[in-house]
Amino acid sequence: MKLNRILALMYMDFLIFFRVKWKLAEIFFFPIITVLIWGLFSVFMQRFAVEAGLIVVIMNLFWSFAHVSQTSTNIAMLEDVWSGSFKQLFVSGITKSEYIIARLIFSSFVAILILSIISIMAYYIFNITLLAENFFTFLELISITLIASMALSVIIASLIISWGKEYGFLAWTILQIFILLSAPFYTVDVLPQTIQYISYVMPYTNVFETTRNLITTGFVDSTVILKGFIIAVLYLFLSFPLYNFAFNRARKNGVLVRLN
Amino acid sequence: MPAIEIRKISKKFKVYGNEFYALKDVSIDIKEGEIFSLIGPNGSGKTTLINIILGLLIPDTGYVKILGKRVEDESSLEKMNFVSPEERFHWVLSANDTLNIMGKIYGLDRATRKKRITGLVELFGLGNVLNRRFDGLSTGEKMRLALAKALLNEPQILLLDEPTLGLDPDISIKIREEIKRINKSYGTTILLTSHYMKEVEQLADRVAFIKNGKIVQVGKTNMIRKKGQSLEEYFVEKVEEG
Repeated sequence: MKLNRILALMYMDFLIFFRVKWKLAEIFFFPIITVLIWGLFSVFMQRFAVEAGLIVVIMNLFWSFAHVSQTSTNIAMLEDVWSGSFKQLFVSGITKSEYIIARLIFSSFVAILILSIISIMAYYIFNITLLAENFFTFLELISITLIASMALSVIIASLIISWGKEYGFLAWTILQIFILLSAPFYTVDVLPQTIQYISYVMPYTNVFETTRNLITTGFVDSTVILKGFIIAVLYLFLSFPLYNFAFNRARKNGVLVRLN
Repeated sequence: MPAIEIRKISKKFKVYGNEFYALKDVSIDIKEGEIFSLIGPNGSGKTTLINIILGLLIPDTGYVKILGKRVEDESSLEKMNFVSPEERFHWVLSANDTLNIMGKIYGLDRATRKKRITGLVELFGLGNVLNRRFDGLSTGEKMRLALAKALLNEPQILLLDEPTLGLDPDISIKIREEIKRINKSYGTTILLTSHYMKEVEQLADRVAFIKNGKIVQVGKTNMIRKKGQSLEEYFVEKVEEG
C-alpha cells in the first residue's frame, strides 16, 4: 500500500467535492435542513414532552452523520463508474485496498465537518446542550457510528462490484434499512420478535439505545457502548474480506470491466 | 525475458446461458523494445486479451507476465501504461488537474511532475485547453490528454488501443510519429491494436492476427502477407477464410 496513491485519490476527491454542485447540496443542504426542521419540531414538542423532541433531533444528527459518511464513499466510487475513470484508476497501479481506503478517509473528514456544523447549529439555535454536557459519551457514539458507516460503505461497494453498476442505487437505500432496523425513535422491543434478533446485531442499535437512555434517564450504560463498538468493529473486519472476494470475483466474471 | 509473456490463455463467458470462448489457448511473447500489433475483426478477442494484460480480467487458464511479474501482482502495472479511445476522466476535472492527479498516483515528486507535464503539454499541443474541464474537450483533445497521461510515468510498456481513432489526419500523423519516437528513444515496448492497417504497417515490427479468440498467425509485418499484398488485403483475406 502506497501513501502517495491514497493522498492522490483524496486530492482528486477534494477537487471534485468543490466542483460538483449537487454534491455540495447533498452533503451540506440536507443535513442542515434536517436539523432545522427537527429542531423546530423539538421547540414545538417542548410544550408536550421535552425528551421526544430531543430524541428526534439527536437521532437525526447521527443519521445525517452516518448518511454522509457512507454515501460519500459509495458515490465517489459511482462517479468513477459514471465518468468512465474507474478503469483508468485501476490500470494506473492503484490497488483495490488503496482505492477504498482513500475514499473512506476523505468521506470521514467530510462527515466530521458536517457533524461539527450541525452540532453547533443544534447547540446555538435550539439550545441542545446535551451533547456538549456529555462530550466524551458523544465522542464514543460518533466513533461507533463512523466505524459502522465505513463498514457499510465497504459492504455496499462490494455489492456494486459484484452485481454491476445497475445496483448503484444501493448507495442511497441500504442505510435506510439499517437505520430502520436499528430502532432510532423507538425501543427494540416494539419490533416483531424475529426482527428484534436482527436489530440486536445492527451496528447502530446500541448507539441509538444509549442516546435514548441518556435523554430520558440521564444514565449511560457502558456495556451497551462496548457492545456497539464490538459489533461495529466486527462489521468492519468482515467487510474487507467481502470486498476482496467481490473484487476478485468481478475480475473473473468480467463485471469489473463492464463497470466502466 | 519477454516484456509481455502471454501463455495458454483461455477465457470463457456465459451469455444467456450459452458459453463461448472469448479466447482459446492464446500464447504470445512480446519482446522488449518492439512494437507489436494485435489485429482482427470486431469481437475477435482483442479487448478481452488487453483487459487480461491489464489485470482487469482473470483468465480461466494460463497466465500473463509483465517483465517477469504475474499480472495478479498489482505492482506489475507500475511499469505499464494504457491508452484507449474509451478513456475517460472525471468530467469536472481540468486537463491540468487530471495530469497532476495521475502524476501523484505515479509517485512523481512536485518538480518532476511539473517538468514532465510541461513537456507533454507542449508535445501534444494541450496548452490552450489545460484549464478546460474534461467534458469541454473535443475527441482529439481527450485522446491527446490520454496519451500525455500515458507517458507521465515513462512506462517500459505501453498498450495503445486504437490510439488514433476519431482524430484528424494531422494529429494522427503527429501521434504516429510520437509512438515511433517513444519506441526508438526509450526502447518502450508497445502493444498496439488498430483498425487502420496503414497505421499498423507503418508502426508495427510484428503482427498477430486474432480471430474467434484464437491466434491465427504471428509474424513480422512485412513477412506475414503475400508479396505485393497490402496489410489491408491480408486482413480481408484472413477474415473471409473459413
